[in-house]
Amino acid sequence: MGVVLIAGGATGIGLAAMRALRERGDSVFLADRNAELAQRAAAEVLPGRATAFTADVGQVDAVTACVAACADAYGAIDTVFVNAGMLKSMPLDAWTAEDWDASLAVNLRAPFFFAQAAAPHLKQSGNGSLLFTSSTGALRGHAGMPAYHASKAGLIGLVRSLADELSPSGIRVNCICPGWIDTPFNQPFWSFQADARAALEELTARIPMRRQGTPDDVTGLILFLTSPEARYITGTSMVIDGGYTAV
Amino acid sequence: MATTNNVNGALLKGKVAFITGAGQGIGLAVARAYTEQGASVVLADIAQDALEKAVATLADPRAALAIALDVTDEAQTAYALKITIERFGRVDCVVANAGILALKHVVDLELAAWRKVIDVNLTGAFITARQFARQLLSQGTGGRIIFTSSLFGLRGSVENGAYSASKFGLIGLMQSLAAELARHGILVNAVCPGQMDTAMMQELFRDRAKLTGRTPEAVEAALLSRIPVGRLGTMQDLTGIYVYLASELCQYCTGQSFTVDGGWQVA
Repeated sequence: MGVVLIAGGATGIGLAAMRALRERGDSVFLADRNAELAQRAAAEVLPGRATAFTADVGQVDAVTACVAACADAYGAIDTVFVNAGMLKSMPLDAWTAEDWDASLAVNLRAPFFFAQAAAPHLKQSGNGSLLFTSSTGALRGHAGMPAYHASKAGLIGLVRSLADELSPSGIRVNCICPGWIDTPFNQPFWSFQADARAALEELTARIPMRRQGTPDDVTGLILFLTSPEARYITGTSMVIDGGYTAV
Repeated sequence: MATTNNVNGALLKGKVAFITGAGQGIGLAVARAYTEQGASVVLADIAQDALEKAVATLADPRAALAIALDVTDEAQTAYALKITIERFGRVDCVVANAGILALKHVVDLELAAWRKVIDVNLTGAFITARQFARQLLSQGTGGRIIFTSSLFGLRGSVENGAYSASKFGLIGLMQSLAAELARHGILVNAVCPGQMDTAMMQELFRDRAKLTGRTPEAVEAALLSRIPVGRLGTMQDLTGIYVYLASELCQYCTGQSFTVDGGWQVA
């Protein structure tokens, strides 16, 4: 089928997506900053091929190297799925410029430079697309996570600009906005709460489906958006949140 | 675990779908796509002869049921549900898609025309959704409700104020209903199609051309320059999202609108 580059593919939503994409026959180039987890993921026995690559996508040259390595390994790229993210939770006064820049470098800058590096390859594909993981954090905000919310909201604007620029060449650009998905990624948020258990109960009561999502809940949308069935969908931010932002 | 994409032909196997406005356009395209994925479909439309033609175009007309229906009529809607259950025993997915236009500037629009658009597009969708949601609740095994909204349910449109108001209204109805039904496993969403290549669109180009002293081709080119993908949408471009939203691939999406517009909205 196709070649999918996943940045941040060794855990959580990225890992679930890798499995679902390989199940349908896609080859996956899995980049993550955790070498061991990336290799373990790529070694899973599944129909589509997989290659692990270690990269800290907060560095721009790592992004470029990642795209080049994927193109080398598979000869083509059809989808770039940038799922890598950073979540820091601290009181306002504790934030330094380094903290802010590190978050923005991973959450907002990396997707942009993935788009820049991958565009020439995606133009050659009959089904080229860029998919970024934003968040319902682009639409709602919580104390302690200013960089996360700002960068996730920034992705919605980035996707529109890139869609306007790249879709005339046949490359779709979209983001998904998962709501509360139960993975270790959210631990910095829970640790920041005065009473994590009470906060979780309160949150769950506010989600119409009365539960957090799982990574597997999100893969169906990723499979759809990366398929030719979604050829006319570009510039959008698709929310998948159990109804959290509907009310 | 989600392991399939949309083209394996069995994403809706064993499901029963009820679709309003199914005699032509989006409703018919969705009915076809659903049957291709293994669903049984009930095609409802106010136009009886359009329905007959529509059913004849399905790969297996005998797997479908056609019913004449005025969506603004509660008794007719209740009857449509009754014969759906008699024929198929259950319903799993409802697509409230019936809609009409009234192309006039707001200051020129007659009250009766405004009322008709709101009645069919918004109240009709409410009547359909309420009736079938009650059925889904009584079945107790979840379900799917999909509203056809529009690009103009997210932004206004010149000469299309009544339609736009009704399509915005559908988003409010959809989100409220989604919040109310989520804990029962009934997922409720809306699709916002963009500028589609239809007979009505071609007619609009001709009308605008006359009004502005340009050629229809020039009017079309001006519109296309606003669409990053560079073309109008086709029915095939739309059916994928309706299939996704009706299928088991869609597990945690509810209360959302899904825009399929080739990027028209970005700029």
